[in-house]
Amino acid sequence: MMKPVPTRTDMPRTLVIVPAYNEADSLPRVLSDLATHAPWADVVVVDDCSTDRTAEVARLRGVSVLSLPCNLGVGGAMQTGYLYAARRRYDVAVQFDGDGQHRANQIEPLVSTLAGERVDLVIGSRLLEKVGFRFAFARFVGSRLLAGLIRLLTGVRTTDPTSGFRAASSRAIRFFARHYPQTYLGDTAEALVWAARQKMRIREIPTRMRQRQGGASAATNFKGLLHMLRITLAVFVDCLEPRVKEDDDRAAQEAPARLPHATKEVDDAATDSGR
Amino acid sequence: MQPLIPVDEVEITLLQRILPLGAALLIALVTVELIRRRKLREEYAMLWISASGLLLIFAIFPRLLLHLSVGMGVFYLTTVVVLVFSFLALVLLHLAVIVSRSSEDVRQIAQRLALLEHKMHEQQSHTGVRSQVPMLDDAVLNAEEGDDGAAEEGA
Repeated sequence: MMKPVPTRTDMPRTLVIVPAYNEADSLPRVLSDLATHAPWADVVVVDDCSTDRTAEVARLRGVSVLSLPCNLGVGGAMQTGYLYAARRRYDVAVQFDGDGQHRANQIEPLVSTLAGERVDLVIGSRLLEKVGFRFAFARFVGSRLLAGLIRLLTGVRTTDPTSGFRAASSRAIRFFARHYPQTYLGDTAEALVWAARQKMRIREIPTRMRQRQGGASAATNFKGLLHMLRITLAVFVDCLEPRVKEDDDRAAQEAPARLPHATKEVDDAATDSGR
Repeated sequence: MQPLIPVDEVEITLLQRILPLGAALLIALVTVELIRRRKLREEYAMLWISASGLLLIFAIFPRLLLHLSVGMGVFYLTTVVVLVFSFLALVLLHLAVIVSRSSEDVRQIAQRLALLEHKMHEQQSHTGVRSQVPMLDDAVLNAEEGDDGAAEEGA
């Protein structure tokens, strides 16, 4: 039995952030997947200065497109999406890859968990249950080590710290709009640590993902080891830093009652990143 | 520990006079030329101008350097190498800090631009009002300016 797809009124106002770099080939499939299984959510594609027709493909599909004038990497692109979400006061933002490895029908459990359990960050884990997802061995070991390190440093238990499939609450949206890690391929694990250090509530739920086609993933070879080392260093340094103050965000929260136009953009200064 | 020969009796060859002089002039020339071509900002050029000036002083008064090395207790070339190396390391670090700050600025500007452009497109399609003068896409503009841009770069 298939569960019926929820409607807009059933769900919190949700923005799906799709960072995309040269994904013109896979983007149509990703966007129709989203339109079919998550029609209740708005979609924004962040085109990280692709050299192919990524932005055009997305615009033709009628979704919002943010075109970056220069390549910022996943972290910078993701943060642009969070800035957009913060300015438009979305309740939930979902990180969704443009390469087709994430499944749109898994968004609903992610968002429901976030809203139902009143947490700030829900991570879709590929390893929490046997859901038929296999990592390359080296990647698996690296992921485990990283998870152990994060648990040691922050006390947060995760099984899949590098999963890029997550949902963020409005508090997390505001935080990530201001501070989002720029470490190459390390943004996922680092963002987790930053959120944990903000005392955000973090949950993990099992999710299904598509196995990546071919060896495109950068985290399978020697480079993967380097990335892991870099991420580890970044995570360590994060924990040495004094915690980022959230005063500004709290001030924004206590701002006088907002205008009824829900989609009205918030003043730039209120949400823009200070980092 | 005293130097083997008193400083005032050390012989300074012509090459030892010309080499630092040439180096000082070269550094000064390259720096000024880079500023003139607007490839180097004055604030970062100050470091190299002063390095050149220092070198010039030692080129003119070579015994000054000898007195200085005696004063500091530096008699070995290896010590000089270490000193020069740490100076260069500091310069590199300084530049790395500047580059990091710049890329941070670039990031924020890029993000704001993307948001702004989106907002603009959105407002245009909402109101149906188009600007009197149509705005060209970057791609079109770059293609048109391709030749001029290249010429300017080469100048």
